[in-house]
Amino acid sequence: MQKILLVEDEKNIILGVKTCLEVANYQVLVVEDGEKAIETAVNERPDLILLDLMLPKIDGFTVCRELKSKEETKNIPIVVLTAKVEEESRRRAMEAGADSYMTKPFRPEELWQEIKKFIV
Amino acid sequence: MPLENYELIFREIPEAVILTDMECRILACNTLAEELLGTKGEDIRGRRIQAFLNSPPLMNLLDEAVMFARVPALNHENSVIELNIRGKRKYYKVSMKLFELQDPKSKTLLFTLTDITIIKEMEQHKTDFFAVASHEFRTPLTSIFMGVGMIKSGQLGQITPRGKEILEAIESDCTRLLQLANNLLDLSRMETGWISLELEDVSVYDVINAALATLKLQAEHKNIALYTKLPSDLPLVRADVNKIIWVVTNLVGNALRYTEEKGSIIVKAIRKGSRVIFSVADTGKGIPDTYHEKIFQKFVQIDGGTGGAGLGLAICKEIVEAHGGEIWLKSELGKGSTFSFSIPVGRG
Ligand SMILES: Nc1ncnc2c1ncn2[C@@H]1O[C@H](COP(=O)(O)OP(=O)(O)OP(=O)(O)O)[C@@H](O)[C@H]1O
Ligand SMILES: [Mg+2]
Repeated sequence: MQKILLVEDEKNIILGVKTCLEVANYQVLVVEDGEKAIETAVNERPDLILLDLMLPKIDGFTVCRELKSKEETKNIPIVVLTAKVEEESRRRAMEAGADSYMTKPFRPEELWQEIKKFIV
Repeated sequence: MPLENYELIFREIPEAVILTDMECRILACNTLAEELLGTKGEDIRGRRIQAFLNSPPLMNLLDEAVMFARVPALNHENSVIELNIRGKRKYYKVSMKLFELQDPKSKTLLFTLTDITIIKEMEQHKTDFFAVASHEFRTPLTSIFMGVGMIKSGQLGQITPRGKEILEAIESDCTRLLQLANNLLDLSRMETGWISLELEDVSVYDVINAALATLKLQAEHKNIALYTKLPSDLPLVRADVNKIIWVVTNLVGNALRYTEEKGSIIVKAIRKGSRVIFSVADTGKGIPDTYHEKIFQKFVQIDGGTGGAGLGLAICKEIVEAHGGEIWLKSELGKGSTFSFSIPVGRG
């Protein structure tokens, strides 16, 4: 079973996204801040990371940059999930090493489709 | 009134007033203008205005006025200038007038600068507010879309047909809410002059096809014939492709919304000189003459509209005008409406 790390601090979104992923047979780990995101990514080596940008402690851009600079995590695809629609933050996220950028809101099918681009 | 009083009045007018000759040399200015120029108490008569005001847009306007001895057409875009006054960024609206002085007889240029900084700041607050609001809408909408989608998929347990219908209604209303949030944000940004166009030479055929692709199904559902009438030799247009697709999509979307079943919609484009004119004609209920101007203002709807918020056409107008084009409407009540807009042809 493939492992997905969901980094998100909104309880209701966690519920929806987690359900959506579990139904599609992924194992889901959830962390709610940037610090734990890095820690968990290093320890657990998920197959994919879904990353919100506005996070407590360390913001998503920084998390992204950190993960992409670490030998152990740099090959894990990162899909950003964010309410920031501005072109500017898309650019910043891609510069920080994100593999893809999805703006909220999205539907289950859209999330599945995006994930399938990176893992089977 | 004695003549001296007029001079006093001129000095105290609560706007910056400056009078120059046709070489932009200062003939007179009032108290507020002196403050603005930072020359209080100095005698600056005879000196060129350029020495005191550092604003290329304003200088362009003045140059044009004196060169052609005619006041340039002032609009919302070119008449608002930004000045740095003692380290503070301020905005002014320029008005101008050319006339002849009697003694000695000579042409002069009179212009005033009205401080509109507070209006600009309010506009900015409004845009900021919509940006925050639009952002705050997205988070709850995510959990609604995800939750409804998961339940609807049946993977969390069986649902009844009625249950499914309700979930679809929720989804469609959430989509509407999202569109409203997007539209409010876009419009407020554009009104603050934040519309940034990524201009390139684009194919009219591609634009129209992309717009219609998303609407064909809707037309079929409503049993409305949706077709195009395009000459085969249309030039490219100079446009931001996504924004123009948005405009066409909205005009056709309106036509679909405000046309009864079995009607028809034709999308056309023709070249006219250095422009391409797009038009969307429907056989819908039409728009009364009294609305032809104001229908492009935001929130204006006839009979409360049908499910929209009255923002679509206002955004279309902002986008088209930002391209240097125009948008207009011809309509006969009960017979149909034709919305048209023009876009400059490409460079290539
Ligand atoms: N093709 C048309 N035929 C008849 N009436 C129209 C047509 N297009 C627009 N209108 C009228 O103009 C009004 C304003 O249109 P506009 O697109 O700005 O807003 P809307 O469609 O009501 O809402 P929104 O576009 O924000 O979802 C509509 O409410 C409708 O009354
Ligand atoms: Mg509309």
